[in-house]
Amino acid sequence: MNQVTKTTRRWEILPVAIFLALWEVVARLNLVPGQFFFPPFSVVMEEFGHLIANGVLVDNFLSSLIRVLIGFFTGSLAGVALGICMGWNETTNKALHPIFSLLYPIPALGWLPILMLWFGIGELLPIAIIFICSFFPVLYNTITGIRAVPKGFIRAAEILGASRMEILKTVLLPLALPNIFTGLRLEAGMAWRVIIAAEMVAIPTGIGALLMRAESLIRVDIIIVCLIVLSVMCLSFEKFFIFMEHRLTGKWR
Amino acid sequence: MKAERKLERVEMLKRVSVLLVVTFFFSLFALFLSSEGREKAQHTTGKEIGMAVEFMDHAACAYVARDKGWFVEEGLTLSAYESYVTGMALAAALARGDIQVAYICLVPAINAYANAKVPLKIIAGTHRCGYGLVVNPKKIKLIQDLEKPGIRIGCVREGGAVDVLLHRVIDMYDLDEGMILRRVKRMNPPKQILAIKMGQLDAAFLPEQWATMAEGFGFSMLLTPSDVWPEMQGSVLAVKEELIRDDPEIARRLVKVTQKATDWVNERPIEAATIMARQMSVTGEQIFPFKAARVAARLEITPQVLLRSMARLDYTTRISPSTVQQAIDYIHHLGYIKKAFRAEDILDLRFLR
Amino acid sequence: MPTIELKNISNFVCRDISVTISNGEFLVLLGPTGAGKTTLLNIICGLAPYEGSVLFDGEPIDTIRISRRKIGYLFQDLALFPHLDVRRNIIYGLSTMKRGHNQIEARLDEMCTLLNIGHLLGRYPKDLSGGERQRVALARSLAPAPRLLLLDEPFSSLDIKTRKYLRIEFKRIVKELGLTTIFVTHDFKEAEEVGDRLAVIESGRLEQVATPQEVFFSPNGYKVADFLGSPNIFDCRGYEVLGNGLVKANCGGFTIVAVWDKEKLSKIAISPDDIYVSRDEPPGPPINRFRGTIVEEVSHNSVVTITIKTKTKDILARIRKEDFLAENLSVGRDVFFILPLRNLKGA
Repeated sequence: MNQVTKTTRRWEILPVAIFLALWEVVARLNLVPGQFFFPPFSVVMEEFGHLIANGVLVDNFLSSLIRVLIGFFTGSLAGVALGICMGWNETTNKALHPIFSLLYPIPALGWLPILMLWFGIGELLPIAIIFICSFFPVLYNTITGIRAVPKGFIRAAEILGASRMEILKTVLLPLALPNIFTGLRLEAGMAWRVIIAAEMVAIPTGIGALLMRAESLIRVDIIIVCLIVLSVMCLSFEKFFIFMEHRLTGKWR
Repeated sequence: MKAERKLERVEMLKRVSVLLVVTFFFSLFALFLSSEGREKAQHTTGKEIGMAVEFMDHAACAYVARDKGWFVEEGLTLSAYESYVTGMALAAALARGDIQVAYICLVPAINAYANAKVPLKIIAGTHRCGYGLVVNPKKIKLIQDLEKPGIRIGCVREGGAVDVLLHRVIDMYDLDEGMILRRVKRMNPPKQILAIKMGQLDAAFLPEQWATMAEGFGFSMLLTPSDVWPEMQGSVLAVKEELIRDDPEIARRLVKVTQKATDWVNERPIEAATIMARQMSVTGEQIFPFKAARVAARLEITPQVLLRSMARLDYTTRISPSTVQQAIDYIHHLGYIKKAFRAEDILDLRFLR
Repeated sequence: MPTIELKNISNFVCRDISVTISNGEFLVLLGPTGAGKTTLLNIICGLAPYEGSVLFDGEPIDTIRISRRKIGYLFQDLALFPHLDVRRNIIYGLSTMKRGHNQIEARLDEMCTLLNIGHLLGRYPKDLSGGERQRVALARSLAPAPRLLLLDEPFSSLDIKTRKYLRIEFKRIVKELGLTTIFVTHDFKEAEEVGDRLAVIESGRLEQVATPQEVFFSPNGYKVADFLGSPNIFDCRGYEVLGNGLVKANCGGFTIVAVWDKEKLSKIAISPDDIYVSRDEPPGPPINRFRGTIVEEVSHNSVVTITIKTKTKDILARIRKEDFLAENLSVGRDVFFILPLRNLKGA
């Protein structure tokens, strides 16, 4: 890392460090109004360590992670696959678009009551919510990506002897990747926000369940730990897709 | 290079300035909130108090005292009177500072004191026991049947008194903790009643009167605290320390009214049940916004149900420090509070004596 | 290479176009914007619907799929695949034809040598200059060894110097390969420079197919003449050789000195844009300098077209509006006009 980058990185960390220091000081000096129980940052970190050591955080985190991965992966895959069909084939688009345009505006969490009735309270419920949360945005971003490819490229490929499948594989999909990644990146973080909410509804494991337990016990330190985990995971997932997008498309964009 | 460094320094100074400005405005906001809180507290000292009760016959004395006007008689004006479906929700309200007096289960009171550092004191008891395990008798005949495959168990969230009872049952009957806890569906009592009605639960740990209501749907009481924890303290009368500090007379009058109402409930249970049914019916419509629970609240909390339920509670203002200590130690053992403490730290029974 | 025949081609733009392009010929489709030039190219490729027939060596190709017609097409915007590097762009057509690795590499080497782009292989289109992109696009079109090459105003986005260099370069290459080529442009100078024959299209109709010289000196109708800028054409009767490649000819009543080294000189032409007009006698040698009177002026955007009446012929000249005003010219004014030596065309 060169000197300029090092310095820039240091400068970026400084506001965070100041924020954490302020938090510690404000909480320690009890400057927060009485009704807001506000543990210092160090207490939160201590509880963080404690939850990792006793396995509670890791177990719940893994439960949430597995649900997010399964739901996100299947939802995105379905979104990309169907998005390609709808973007590439006008008949498919005309057939499915009216249905999806009615379903799309329903927020993922709005499906919770009906899914609870259909699937009961089990692993399938949060996975289904994440699936829905991921599916629609990725679908529409894929459709947009496919359609945004200038027709000139498709014509050029056709004239150069490419079949429809070859055009899809070698021209449309690669050029649609930036849009697809936009959808994936946006929904990666959203999946975590949604899983927490889904887990808060009577599911016994996961970060959301841990959050609810902490709320019942008025353990604000544990609540903040859960929020930190949520934030880090949202950020990590988003960063991962930014990295992948750059890796796959950075050379030519 | 020098020019670059200079630019970076300038940029950094700008960022720090922004942070300082934001911190300044945030501090102003916090100060404003703080002064609002103090104003609220000032407004409610003197003879006005904010009170909260649980939506259960645990708070029978409060319902009766309010109905009879005994609070007013003692010169206690209630600036707020709120009902909460669970003790945990009530504890959160206490922590927020909305209320100064609470008729609350002992366990959530301990959690509020230890975890949220709410400066409260327990000045009297209201009842002992008043919790139970109700089961579908076709599927569960013994406690050990809870371990049978496919059994679905309902219970409130961690931190509630019935949750502690659940853990006590697991310990006393040596059940597989992991397996049992994996089967537990966490929901508040009205939702559990609904779930029982729809056949989605096979067993439920419930506080009274909800446990008795479950019997109305074919469930039967399999276990009460006397089976695993005799003398289990139920609810208590808890007040904020500042209330005692600023005006101990209020605390004394509260205990007096509670004592009077408790005696009355024991002497006239039928009338008490009628009063509670009436009051809870009104309250139920207010605190259950959704139709299904309103149906549960309105149609099934009858005087008959309450009467039967009340027979399972031991209404008394007596409270034993050793029982409270037992509860503190057990909750600490469960990991709900980080550090155990002495019962004397949370008790102030001088008004009772 | 096949002979290409277009028979009665019609669609929403083109109207009954018929033309035959010989094996190895460089035909230029010339016409204003919207005339139907690009549409005709698209028809040949199969990208646009049409009535009529396109024949390669007498065989109709109308029902053959686009990907099977073996036509190279250099689009106006080049359409280089941005996500593929130069190497993969060039070999794209060969990959779709499922050629072997050795064959592909050999052909790639050929294209790199032919177009001098070997040093660009690892780059992406976004990193190439305009001229480099043109050459890579041409390489991509040529790599699959097409039977016909279509070029749709490929140099329109380049500067004049690069454009001039590239069109000569491209013509040299396609001639070297013996490739039948159809080149689209709206610029007569460009057409004249590269075309074996010009096909002038106006409003979807084929107005004239002839050599550049024939089109320029004998435009077929006012539409073609108008498109060419209505050149002033002088019929010449005899000339005198002055030496150094110069001749003095009597053309349309004017004694004109021109550069000419062929045997016969029957016409001299000059574009109205190339005539110098001034109110006062211009400085310099009195060669190709004449007098006349402005009898008509037509203002159009930033240009004024004036008709200068002389004893023998009306001369059309086109000058910038600012020059027109600066010289204080108007109808009725006597003016001097010069026919610059270098702008005279002979036939």
